[in-house]
Amino acid sequence: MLGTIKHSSSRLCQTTLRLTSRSHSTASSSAFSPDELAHFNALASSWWDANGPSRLLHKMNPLRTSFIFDTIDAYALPSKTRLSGLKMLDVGCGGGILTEALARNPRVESVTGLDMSEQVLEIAKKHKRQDPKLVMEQKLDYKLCSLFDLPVPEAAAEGKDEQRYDVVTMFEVLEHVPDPSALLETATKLVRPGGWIFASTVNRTAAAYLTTIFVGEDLLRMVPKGTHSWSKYINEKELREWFIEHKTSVPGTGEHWDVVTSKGCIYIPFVGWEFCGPRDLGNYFLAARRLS
Amino acid sequence: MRPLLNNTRAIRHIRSYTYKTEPSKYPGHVPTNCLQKLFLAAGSGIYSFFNPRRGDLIATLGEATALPPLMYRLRDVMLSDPTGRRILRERPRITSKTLDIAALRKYPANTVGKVYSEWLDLEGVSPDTRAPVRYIDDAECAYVMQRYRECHDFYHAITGLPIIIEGEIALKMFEFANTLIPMTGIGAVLAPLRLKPKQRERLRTIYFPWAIKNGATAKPLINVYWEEVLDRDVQELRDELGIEKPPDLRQLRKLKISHL
Amino acid sequence: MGSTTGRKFSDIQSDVYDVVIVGGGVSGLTLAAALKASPYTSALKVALIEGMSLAPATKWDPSPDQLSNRVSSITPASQAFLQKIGVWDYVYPERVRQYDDMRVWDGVSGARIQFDSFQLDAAGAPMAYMTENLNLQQALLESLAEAPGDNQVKIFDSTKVEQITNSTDQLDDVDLSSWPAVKLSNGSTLRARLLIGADGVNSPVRSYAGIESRGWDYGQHGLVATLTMEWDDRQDIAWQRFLPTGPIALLPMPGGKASLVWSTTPKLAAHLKSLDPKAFCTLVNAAFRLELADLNYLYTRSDPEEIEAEFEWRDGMLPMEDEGAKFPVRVVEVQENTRASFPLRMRHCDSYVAPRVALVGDAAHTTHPLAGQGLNLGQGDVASLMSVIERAVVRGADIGDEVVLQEYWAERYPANHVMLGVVDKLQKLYCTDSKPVVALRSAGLEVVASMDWIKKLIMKQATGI
Repeated sequence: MLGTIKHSSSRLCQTTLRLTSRSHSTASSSAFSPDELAHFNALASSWWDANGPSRLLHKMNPLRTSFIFDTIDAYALPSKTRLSGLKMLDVGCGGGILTEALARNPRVESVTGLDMSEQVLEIAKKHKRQDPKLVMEQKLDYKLCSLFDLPVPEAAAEGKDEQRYDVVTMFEVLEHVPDPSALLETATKLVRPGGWIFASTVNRTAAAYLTTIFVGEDLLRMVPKGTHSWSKYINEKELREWFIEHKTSVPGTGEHWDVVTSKGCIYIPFVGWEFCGPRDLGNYFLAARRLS
Repeated sequence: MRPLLNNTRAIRHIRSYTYKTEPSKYPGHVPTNCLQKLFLAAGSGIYSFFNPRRGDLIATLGEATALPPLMYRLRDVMLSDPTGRRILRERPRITSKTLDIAALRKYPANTVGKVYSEWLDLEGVSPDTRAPVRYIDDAECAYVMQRYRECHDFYHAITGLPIIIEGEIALKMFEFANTLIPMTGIGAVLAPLRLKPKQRERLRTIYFPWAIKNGATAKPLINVYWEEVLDRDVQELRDELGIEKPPDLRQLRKLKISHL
Repeated sequence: MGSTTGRKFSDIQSDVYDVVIVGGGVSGLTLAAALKASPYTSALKVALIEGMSLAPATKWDPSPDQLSNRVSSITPASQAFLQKIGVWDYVYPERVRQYDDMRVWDGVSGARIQFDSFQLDAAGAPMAYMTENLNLQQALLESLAEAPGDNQVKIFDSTKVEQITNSTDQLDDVDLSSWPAVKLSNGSTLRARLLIGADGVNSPVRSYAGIESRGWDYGQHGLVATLTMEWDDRQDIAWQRFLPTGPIALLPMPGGKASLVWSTTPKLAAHLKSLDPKAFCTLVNAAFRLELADLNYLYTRSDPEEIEAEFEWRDGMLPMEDEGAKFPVRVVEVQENTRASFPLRMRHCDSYVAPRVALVGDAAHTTHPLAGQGLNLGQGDVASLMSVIERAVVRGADIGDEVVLQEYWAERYPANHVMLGVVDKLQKLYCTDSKPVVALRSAGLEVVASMDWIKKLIMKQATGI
């Protein structure tokens, strides 16, 4: 299905290319559609309102940080995986809920947050200024660009690893982009051996439609309307297989990935997000590790 | 069959009402349980209704129906007053031994002592005709009941009500309003059933209104240390206690007046 | 945007704290000590502000036969927490007395119930520990002083909070407009990532946060005193009799002493405070032993000899075997200057948190002393808030973030609400001598007294085990 998405998005991105007149729209398949962009821009001002439309995102954050660090500690590759001094990249960082939490962690050396929405990124930068620790420690940096715009070191040459990242996170991103496969491909090139890609998205099942769109958006309105579109959801099996079958575009470099863990999660009202339920039903987290 | 009956919980429960014995708490005390008191009340009530001269049965009825909350209430009335407390502590008794009636006869006119001794002579009674308390299970409450009985003649003296049945009933109503002892209320309500209509009318229109009004508003008579007020003027004592003297019952009967 | 002011964060950095605790009572000091004891939070920069001097606690050198009248009943759960953060080791054990038996009875009907912590099967844990508040305070302050010197809690005592507003600092590099700024009487202004209101029932922090407190006054005063018993019966029993004017409680203290907590009408409280000491002791004895009619009579007398004589007479009529079983041993002396009273009320806040603000202890809730829960609710608050702050630090959250603080409120509010509600209902149930109510409550009490499992449930709630 991911392959199918890729094909259909090539047609799609030709359409978007014609429509887009932004100076920094990328040459390759556009990372973001204008509809999605407009949707998130509108949410910018309320992003950090704890009781506002983004409340569920705030409530999910503890799960994300614990998932990242617990997985690193449990599945670290000896002599390859760094346990501290981590260099991190957060794709689709939004207002910076996760990015700030990562920056405050003493095990993290630097975090870069990427987002395509100018208004949302402004909010993120403004909010960062409210915490002296983030300002003074200078571990946190925001860039208004897509992942495709970052310089990619070509090969695993000596010294190029310094430009790579220990961790790339893509939480609640894959179901919003027209070409998830391309995004993942670019991401893999930016990860050091022994490093990680952490992603979360939603399974394309009837149950997920029920919970995330019908109940979440229409009925209880806990999630702003129009946040998700079911056709863009990605099944856990599809994502897992993508990593396992992935080969670098440069032949012979032997880049291999494995998926160390994935967990289903669910939002329980008045309690919060919890890891529970099957991983192929609704929301899920996935951790992929670069072996070589 | 017998062993079965002996062992069921229900039987044991009922037995506890009938077999429970407590130690005797004061001289003359006969401990009784609920069921026994019920029988005493029924028996003495029926018999004394037909034979009101049996003072001992009326006494028994009074003790059997003196529910603890009401006796404790009367005792608490005494405990709330300095004189009442002294009475409870010293526990004076009114008998022909403790009161010198002969001396009281020599008291000045209109003193409490003189009026009391006159009344005793008029009615032909002595302080010793009061039955001792037997069935009240708390020693202090038993004394309170005893004291109430022994002071009864003083109540006659201070109100001037005669010992005839009408006078007794009027005084009973007064006492009920003043002390809330159940027996006084029962007596005041049931006893008139044996009276003639004219007598009942007299009670209804003159004496019951007087009794209720004065009994309720007067200071509790149980707190009067009678032995100490024997030389005081009767009217002065009445004013202090808040009692109005009712119309002379013997006069009204002579004149056959049933309402004023 | 705006023009630069030339001022940077480093200019005010020395006055910027991660946690500012307003209130140096037991709750505030416990939170400070807990923050320093936990390895996750010990690196946080913490300040504590107290309006009165803390010297009475730091320089506390009490004589063995003088006990302060400000004492608290500490549940095993609270004691375990103080142990966990290393504070209990500094408490003077000779000034702590535990009790494991509690005898409570209805002053009108005499219906009784007895609680025995032995039934809890909790490895010898008592019902509660009694000790002076000063004992706790000095232990907390000593524990704070023993923390590593480079990042100790900065204590500002004898310093009043003059004003709390949002920070008005205009800095080039950092925006602190969402941070509370606390202006002190010593001229400095502290900015707080997280401001804690441990400042009592009239909390200024609560006012700043715009949080409403609801409740009512009971129209009663709590009279406390330190008493000496005729002898120490070593039974470790706490006694409480529910009089229609309010409950009277006697709690055992070390050295054959006891602490009195007598909730009664303001008029009676004033009268009792003014009585001759011997007469006062007699009235305390009377309040536990005599009938209500006697007690009401004795309230009207003031001559000590007369009161003594009346008491001896009535007390002499009570069965000998009840002494030490149905009511406590006699009180013979009241320590000078320990008779004091304070108004009793019930208060509960709608919320314990606001952005960058959290309330603990009396600032969040006030309860009637009849269940000995006041201080312990505060300790429970502190334990919960600590756990929330620890989790937030581990996952990199901003500890002042409202989403984080809401976890604390969600954890504490329901439990506190229930406890406050139960205590309030008990107070209303027992402050009447209306016959039907008395009959019902006595019947109810006797039913509960005969059921061990209900008693165990009640004890579990009260002790927090």
